[in-house]
Amino acid sequence: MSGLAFEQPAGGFVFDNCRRNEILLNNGALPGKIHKTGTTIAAVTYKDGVVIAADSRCTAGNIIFDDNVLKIHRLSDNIYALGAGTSADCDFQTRLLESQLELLKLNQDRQVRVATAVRKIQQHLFRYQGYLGAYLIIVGVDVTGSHIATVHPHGSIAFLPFVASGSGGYTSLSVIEDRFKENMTEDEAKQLIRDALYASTTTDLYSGSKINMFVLTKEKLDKFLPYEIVAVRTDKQADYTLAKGTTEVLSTNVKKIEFDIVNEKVKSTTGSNEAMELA
Amino acid sequence: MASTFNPFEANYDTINDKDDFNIGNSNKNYTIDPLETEAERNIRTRTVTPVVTGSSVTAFIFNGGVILAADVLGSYGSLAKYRNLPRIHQVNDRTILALGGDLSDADYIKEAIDAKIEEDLVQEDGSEMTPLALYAWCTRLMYYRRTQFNPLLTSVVVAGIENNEPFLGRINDKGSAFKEFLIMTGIANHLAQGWIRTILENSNELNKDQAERLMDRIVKQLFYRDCRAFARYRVCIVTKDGVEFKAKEVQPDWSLAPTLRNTE
Repeated sequence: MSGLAFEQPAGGFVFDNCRRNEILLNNGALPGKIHKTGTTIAAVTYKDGVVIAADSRCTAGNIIFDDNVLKIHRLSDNIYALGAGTSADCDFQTRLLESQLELLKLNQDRQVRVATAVRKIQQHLFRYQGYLGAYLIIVGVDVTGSHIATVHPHGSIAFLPFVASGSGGYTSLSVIEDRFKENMTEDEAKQLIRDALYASTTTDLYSGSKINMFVLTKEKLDKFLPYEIVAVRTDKQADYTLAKGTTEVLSTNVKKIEFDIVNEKVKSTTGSNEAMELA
Repeated sequence: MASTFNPFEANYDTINDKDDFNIGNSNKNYTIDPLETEAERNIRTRTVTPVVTGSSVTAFIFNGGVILAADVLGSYGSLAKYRNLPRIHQVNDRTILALGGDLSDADYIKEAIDAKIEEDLVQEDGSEMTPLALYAWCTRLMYYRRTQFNPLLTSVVVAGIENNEPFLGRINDKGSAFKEFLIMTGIANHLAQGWIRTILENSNELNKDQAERLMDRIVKQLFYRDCRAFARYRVCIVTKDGVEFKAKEVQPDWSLAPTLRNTE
């Protein structure tokens, strides 16, 4: 038995579920509604590392399904992935890759490289011939420097100094392309990415709400969640609470409910869950 | 009538496709139904897909006028076939017409407008075609063709000075028309619209030089990312003082190329 614990995929293509899906459709089962991310994601290299940003809107058809999605996935301490395309595919493939990279890191006793992550996901996606709709941007800083790579569902990759992807990708790309310089400062890079995402969240219907940004260098990882809220829901313009007595009370019935205290437990209330923001 | 343009005349070849059975009565003064003709003669007389196409047109209003840019390429599918077809036409001293999309339909529109201008000239009463009038007329023309299921597959951009104010409007092949301070047709819609809209919304009115430099940046971006773009282009600036055309060439910067890799 080899000492390597990560999965060795069986040779050839795996299309087991295609026949099953066909049979299900023929028997009248409804096809699942695809929740797409309809996204803008962008990444830019600068002097010390990379700046990456994503919007936070998830659409299902023409409805905003979730306004507060984090499209930045951790692959390793020094490698992150941005996902556009089908939500589930992005989430699960990056999670799978994350666990594989963790095992690799423990086995080889070294920091994982971006090229490794890209090669692994590329080979995995190619086996599924584009059926996994994951348009990923893999970014990271390792011993060889800082890298950004795009990965397409069919398995093609490109290493680029800057990239923008998703439905709002075109718009962001033109902003970045116009002002990109090699070796920018951190503030310049953050401003550039912010402008790029702002242009596409205001233009593209399927991107919006918030701009989440990470700054990744050899030493640090700065998280700005969110960096900017683009569409702020304003306060309600009037008080819509109804006065007591609006609904006529016809009768009142008071009953006593018998109960026994079975168990008592005391819990501290610090660290409460924050309510989901629907900005 | 000085004009030779009659939108209600048949557009097919009436000389070679002769009417042997005298079906087309010369006393007819209604339109020949295109469907009837096609079924009988087994020919297709309407544009279904664009053949020779022009790429995008970009235009915006600055302080004191309008600036437009369009390259001089006529693409035959993916072949860059006609490399000197200017797509911005001057109608008169204060009206400009720019066309993108199918170029044979663009020529048809241009000739129709030229005929109209000649008609006006012959009257010699000093009245001129204004941008708003041209915009309204083009909308009617495009929508009429759309209702006949024989659309002109072109985007029309009308620009100029109307009542001492800059005017910019656009009509698409469906006859849908609007006026805006920023117009982009074709793929520039996706590539440059969002970017430029945020710049123009956030800045105060640009002057002529700033507008020209911004337009150069836009055309350069489109040249980088549009497969059907071309390096040579024309810029047209309309102000109260008149119309100015400039021929320019994109100076692309390929210095980032050595840093790109698409394999390991």
